Amino acid sequence: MRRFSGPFSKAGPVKSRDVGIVFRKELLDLLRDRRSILATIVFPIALFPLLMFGSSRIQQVGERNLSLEVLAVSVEDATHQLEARLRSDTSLVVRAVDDPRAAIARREIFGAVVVNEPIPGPGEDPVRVTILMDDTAERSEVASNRLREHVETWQSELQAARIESIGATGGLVRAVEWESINLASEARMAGDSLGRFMPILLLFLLMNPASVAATDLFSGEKERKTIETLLTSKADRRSIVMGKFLTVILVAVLSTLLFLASSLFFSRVGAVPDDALMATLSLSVPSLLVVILVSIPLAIFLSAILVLVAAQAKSYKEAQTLLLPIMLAALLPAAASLLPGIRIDSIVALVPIANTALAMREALVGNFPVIPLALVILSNALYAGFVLMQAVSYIESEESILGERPPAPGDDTAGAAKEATLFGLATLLLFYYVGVRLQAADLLSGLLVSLWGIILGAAILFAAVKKLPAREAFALRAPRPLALAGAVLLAMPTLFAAHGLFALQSLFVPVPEQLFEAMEQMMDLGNGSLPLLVFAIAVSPGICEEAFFRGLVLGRYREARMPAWKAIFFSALLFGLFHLSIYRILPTATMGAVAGWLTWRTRSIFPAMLFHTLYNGTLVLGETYDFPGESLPTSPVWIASLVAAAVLGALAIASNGCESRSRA
Amino acid sequence: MSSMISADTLVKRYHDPARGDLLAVDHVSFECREGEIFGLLGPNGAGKTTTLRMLATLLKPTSGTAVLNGYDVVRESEKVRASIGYLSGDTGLYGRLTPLETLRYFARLNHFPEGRLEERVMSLVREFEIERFADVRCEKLSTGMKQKVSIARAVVHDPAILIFDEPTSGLDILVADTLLTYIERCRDLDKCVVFSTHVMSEAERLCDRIAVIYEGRILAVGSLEELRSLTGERYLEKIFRSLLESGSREIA
Repeated sequence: MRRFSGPFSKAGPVKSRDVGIVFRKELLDLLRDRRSILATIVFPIALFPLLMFGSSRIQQVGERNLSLEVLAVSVEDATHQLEARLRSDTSLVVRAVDDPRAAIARREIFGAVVVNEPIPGPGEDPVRVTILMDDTAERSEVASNRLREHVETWQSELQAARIESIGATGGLVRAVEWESINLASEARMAGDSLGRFMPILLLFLLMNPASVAATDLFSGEKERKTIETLLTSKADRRSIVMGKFLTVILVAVLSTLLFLASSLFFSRVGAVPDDALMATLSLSVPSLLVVILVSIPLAIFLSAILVLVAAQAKSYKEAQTLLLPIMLAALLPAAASLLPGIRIDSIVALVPIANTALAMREALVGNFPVIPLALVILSNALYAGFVLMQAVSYIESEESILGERPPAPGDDTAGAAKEATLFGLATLLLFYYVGVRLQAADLLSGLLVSLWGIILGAAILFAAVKKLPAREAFALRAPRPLALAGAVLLAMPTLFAAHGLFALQSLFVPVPEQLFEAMEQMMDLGNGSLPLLVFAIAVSPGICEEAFFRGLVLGRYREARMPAWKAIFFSALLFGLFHLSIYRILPTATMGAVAGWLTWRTRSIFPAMLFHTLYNGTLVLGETYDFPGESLPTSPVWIASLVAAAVLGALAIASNGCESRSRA
Repeated sequence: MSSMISADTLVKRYHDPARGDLLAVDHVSFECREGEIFGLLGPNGAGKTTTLRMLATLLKPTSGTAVLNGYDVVRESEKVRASIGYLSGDTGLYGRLTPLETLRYFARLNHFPEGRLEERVMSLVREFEIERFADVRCEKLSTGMKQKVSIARAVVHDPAILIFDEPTSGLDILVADTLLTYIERCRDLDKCVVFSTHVMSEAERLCDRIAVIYEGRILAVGSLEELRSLTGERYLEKIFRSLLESGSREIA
């Protein structure tokens, strides 16, 4: 038997034979379901021609009607040459009116041409020809275009005759000849408009059958009460899950491929009515290959999300209620590809879903930027692997199978961690929607309200609602002097470490100028008052943010018996997210991790508060007095003293932690 | 007769947000041999289903062990699953598969040798009188037909141990009787059968030995005769009540 071991395997290898048995059965089962067939095969094939036929029909009907209509115009022509031309045009009918302007306003006629003088002789000023039209009426626009064409041909015929009469060729009289050329090839323009629209279609076509399948294969197993039987067979859970998961992915990929193939076929064969778009649309094979290449990891990623959600539902109905918002939410980032001006670069390439949408858009206009495309595929594969791992481990857990909760030890505490994280994210939203707006209105008061009101307020509210004693919730324990000394020693080295990381990061990810401007704006906060500046930027964050992230969140994580590294990592990540800038996550999370470690070891919030205040304070002072804090240290003495401070500080904290543990 | 199931101080603890810690199964131990029908008798919520699910490797015991057919439920769960057939009263079928496809699917999932697979499936089809509707999708079958397919599916890989969790719940009398008759036949085939029920008459009819279980604990284990002499009561209902009142007692 051929075996392969999953990368995250704990419970032993996946057995390809069992995976195959489950896969074949699920496929057969799905192919007998009318809904699945519709979503997976019929709809993707029919969508492209339907869309094209529908949209071109609507457009054509409108255009054809006007282009066939005979439109009334009037003409005053002293030369009588133009009038003769117009009368011979069957698409125009010439009416005699007294006042052409009034007639146009009354919509009796749709255009008028006025030539007041006879044709001038050579050397005289050219004759003035006026075309009257009403821009707000579509018919008037069409009529004036027809009039203009006549005027232009008349004028060039007159010109040619004159040139001939003086015996010169065109090149001698005409100094400039112009014509505008649209550099975008028609195929490229068609591709661009399709490229904008296509990612959303593709995502929908990928998720629609996948959600039908995920519901049937996972929630359905519970609704039909077949899951116990399945799980008491010899095949192990991991293989069963993989078999089902492969079916969902196959369905998602199949639907996408069928849509692309149908698009290619119908556009090549020209079986759809030829209008401007269809005549020029050329879906090239390389474009489609790239689209497929970026879609597959995304298909796995989205399928894993859908499966993870569907597995939590106990019935079809519940699954549908859960899946619909997920699908809509997933379409949102794809809508980014509709926005003009957003292009794919190395950062955007890491944003799930949006990256794929943009990559598809590039590919459909014939651009293949190699590095972003590779990043898209790679990051999607990573996300897919991560979610898949989550999905598999959830499905393997007992609660997923029988709707029962896992055994007691650590259970309510795991809930506490989840709760704290959700609370943190909810506060982040509040901070984002309210705090940021306040700060935009007035930076100083907005910042103070955000810190003391939103962040500290939310933390206190949470502790009050959960009836947590303040001392426990915020780690309000008197620290040992050594711990405070450690916090002081660590502030500067951490600042430089974070700064160094930021500098390192900006080598790969260029930081936009606006970020620096925003930072400098911060430093002008105190209106010249240094104490106010220090209070707003150093003391307030030191107290409020520490109470929130290291006091409450980290404290709940500890309560949940999370391992130290995990608790510190996630609380630091949350802290980084609060800075609302992708560029600042790394440096701020680094600082947050050190503060987290301080609190974890000393079980007191005060060293972290001191540390944070000093850290921010150094930044403020550095900015104000051109103190070293702005640039990285270069002198060996500086570096040596920073390293020494870091080592001493770390030792002080580490030893403090040991003591407090031995005391406890 | 050798011991096919040996449950040793099985414990399953849940945490319920409303009720706090819940001891669903509280140090349950029993043995069950080849050719024996062993009954777990108790009211709803007594811990019967949880106990059987631990035996079937659907749930992991919080503590304690169980050995089935010589394999440990935690460490050798795959071999345990290959040795058991599991059927509960509310088991469903895949509506869009036919009985034949269902039987083949489960035979393969249980690694039944491919060479003998058709022969085995067809013999079950004859035995359970499935021939008439063997190629009809399960969603179109009547309850009685479905139940026959469900039993056939549970035993398709010819397991040595059969675990039935309240298999007759929701069945009409005639279908239930077919099932109970089949369970009796399993004894003759030297299978080891564990059977849970809250219906006293079923326990009286089928079980060689009965474990009376209440609030996660086994109050007494023995044959009907032994339970009668222990409590001095004739009917199982009375025996049950008497055991509840006198608390835990066990017959070795």
